Amino acid sequence: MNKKYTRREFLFKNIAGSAAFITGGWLLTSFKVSQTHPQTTNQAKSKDSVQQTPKSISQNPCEDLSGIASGEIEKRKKFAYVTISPNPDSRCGNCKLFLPPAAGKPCGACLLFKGTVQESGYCTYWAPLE
Amino acid sequence: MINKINAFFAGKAAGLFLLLVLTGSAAMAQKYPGPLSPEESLKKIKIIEGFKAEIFAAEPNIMDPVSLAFDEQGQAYVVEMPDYPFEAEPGKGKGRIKLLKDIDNDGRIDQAVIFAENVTEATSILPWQGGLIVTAAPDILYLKDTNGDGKADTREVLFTGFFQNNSEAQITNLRYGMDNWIYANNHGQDGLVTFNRTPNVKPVAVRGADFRFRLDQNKFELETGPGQFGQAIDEWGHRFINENSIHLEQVIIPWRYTHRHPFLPVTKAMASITDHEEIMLQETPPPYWRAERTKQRNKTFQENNLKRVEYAEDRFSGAAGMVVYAADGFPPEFNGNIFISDVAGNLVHRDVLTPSTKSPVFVASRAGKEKEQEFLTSTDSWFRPTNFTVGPDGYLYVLDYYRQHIETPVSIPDELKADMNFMAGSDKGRVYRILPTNSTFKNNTVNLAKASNTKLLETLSHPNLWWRLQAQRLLLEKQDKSVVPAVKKLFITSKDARTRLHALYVLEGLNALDAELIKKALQDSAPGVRENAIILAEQFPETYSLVQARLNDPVIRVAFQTTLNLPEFKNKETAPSLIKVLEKYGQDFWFRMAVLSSEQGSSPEILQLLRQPNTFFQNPEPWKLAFVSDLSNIIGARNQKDQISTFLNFLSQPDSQITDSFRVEAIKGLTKGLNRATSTDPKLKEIIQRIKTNNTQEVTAAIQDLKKFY
Repeated sequence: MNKKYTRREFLFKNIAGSAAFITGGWLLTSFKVSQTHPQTTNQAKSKDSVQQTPKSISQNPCEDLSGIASGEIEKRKKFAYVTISPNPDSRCGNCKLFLPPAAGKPCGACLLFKGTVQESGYCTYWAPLE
Repeated sequence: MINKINAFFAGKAAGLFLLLVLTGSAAMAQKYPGPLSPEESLKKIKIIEGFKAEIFAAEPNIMDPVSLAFDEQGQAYVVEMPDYPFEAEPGKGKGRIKLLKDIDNDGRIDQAVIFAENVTEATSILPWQGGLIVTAAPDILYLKDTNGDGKADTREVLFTGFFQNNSEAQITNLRYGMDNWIYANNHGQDGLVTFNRTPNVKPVAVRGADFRFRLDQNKFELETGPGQFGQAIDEWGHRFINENSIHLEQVIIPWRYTHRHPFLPVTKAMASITDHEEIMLQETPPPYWRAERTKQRNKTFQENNLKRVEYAEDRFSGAAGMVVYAADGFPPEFNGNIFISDVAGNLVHRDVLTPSTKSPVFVASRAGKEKEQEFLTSTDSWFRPTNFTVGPDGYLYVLDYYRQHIETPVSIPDELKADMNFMAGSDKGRVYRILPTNSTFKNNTVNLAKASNTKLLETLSHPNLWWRLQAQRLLLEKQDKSVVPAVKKLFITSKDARTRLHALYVLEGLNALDAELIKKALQDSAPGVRENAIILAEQFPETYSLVQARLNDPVIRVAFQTTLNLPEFKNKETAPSLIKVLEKYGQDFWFRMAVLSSEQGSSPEILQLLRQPNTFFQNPEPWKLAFVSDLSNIIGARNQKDQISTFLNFLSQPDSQITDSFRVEAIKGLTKGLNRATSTDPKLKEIIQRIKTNNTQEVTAAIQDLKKFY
């Protein structure tokens, strides 16, 4: 394929850009210069400020979200996560972002948000395994 | 001196700081390039040889376009979706629908009139009875301008109850089908939908399905899906959909067939039809955030010992709009091709659709010219082609959302999001007209709103589907039955199969079909007409034998439609006919599913009939075992005592024809079905738990155990 750019160029740009950005960011922080992004107010709060969900005993361990930060639970809602998929052919179990249960563990996880996830579940971000 | 030194260092530090800030800014500019003017961005577009792009509309006249529709006067209406990717508070959405005007007739929009504003979650429009139907989750609305000032002054909530929580997965993309139904994608999201014009009709749960409705008959129902954003319907009524990472799927069996009974083991009735995987040939590098996020995800896959790879580029991940090209503005070889956009790849992909000779599906392939490049690409990473329409001029219109970033913000790690402005570009948007290099734009000459019946009938023969569909819709809306004789004559005399098909559906919409006409249509020279005639024949029992004859149609899709429709006649001859279907097409999954979707095709009688040809049970080929397994599964799930008793008697007959492998599959399938049955008795559950199918003795024992219960 005849690309208009090379991977090397891309990596160089990004590494250089990142380095400069990080350095610039450090300096901006040092000089107490802040930048606001009013349009991105939906971003998760820092870990220090999140409220923890109260401990609860769930009947199904894969639905137990006790100890999960409220911001992470909010993410689930944003993705409209449900424990039973409305589309049986598209479910967490065959989504590329699903992490199957570790040996001896009953529940899986997801790359999009923290906490337990069921293989039978689904969210609007579902993507097929490639 | 000290002061001088301090001043020197202070100056140096300030200089260093400035240098680094500037370097950082430059890097930022490289990381996420800035916007280009419409003219500059146009220069970044590369199309295959023989085509060019022109600007049809741009900011400030339009912003954030996601849907474009031309009404019966050729007036262009556009839906703007500026709130994306954030949720607007109820009633505070900034969605707009605009009427676009080309005052000086130079082919470029120079004025926009706001038809409706603050339409929360508006994503698509469809002209209807002088107004616009609008998908705006949780509703489907009907907006109309009744006083001629260009602004909607009536607002009716037609349907309500659709999912509303994610603008990438909501009711969207209205399409007027050949069959007079209006189709919309629902992405399978949950919702309990009511139709306000029929308040006494029970709400419909739309979970797992798409949606279709008719305002001329006040009907609404589920449709096979789920489609996310893209939806296209071809000249013969075949429907195509997509979702982010799957760029093209065909709806193989409509919902009304797969849900005739609720016991099919699998009801998925659509399939990806690409022969080139999900590969796209983008010309832009992946944005920094995406490359980094993919790197992180791949690392996690490795840490979890998962053999998975995510690709940051060159794989469809933002497949969006679709349209089947069916007009006369492009060279003939483009007719029937499907165009699909990908907002992440900044490109428009084209697939050539070829009917398979082995299965009732299309195969989507790249055109010869496009093995090395897409139909249209841009090196401007802000180019976000969301949707298409084919205009009355026969040209392709590409909607460009024009945003720096398109992605669900919450899916991006916080540290990568810090320097991303998801609203960058929300004040911009373009629509491009794609046309052959040697063509020029055409002034709008459309004037169908008050056209005579004669003019509308003439328009049913237009080479551009847009015109034919407008005429069909307007004839349906008018409900003037005086046109019936002329439409029938058009069906009989027209040499264009597409015109004959429109004529059929105009008659259907006027409730003026008759058996003689259907009989003629069933023997039409065009497979697309025959295929639709089979659907329409359901209303006329006297056409049964002619429909049945279509099982031998040389075109596989026609034989398939016959397999789906024949059981609708409730005729005793149907079950033996379905056996013939299995003999001829049983190796194809879709034919097996079509047979099993009917009551007759999923009864124990089918097993008895399969013995008669004396061949089915002789050789346990995989497709035969699969059919027996699924049939047994359905019989178990249905859990009717007399059916299961008949079924078990059949299996327990000393019959050399039926090999053990068939009995094993039958009992395994039956057990699965019984486990699905909602009314399974606790005693039966005990029996089921004891069942083993490892050898002949165990299967025989299982049959005997089950016979005691039934």
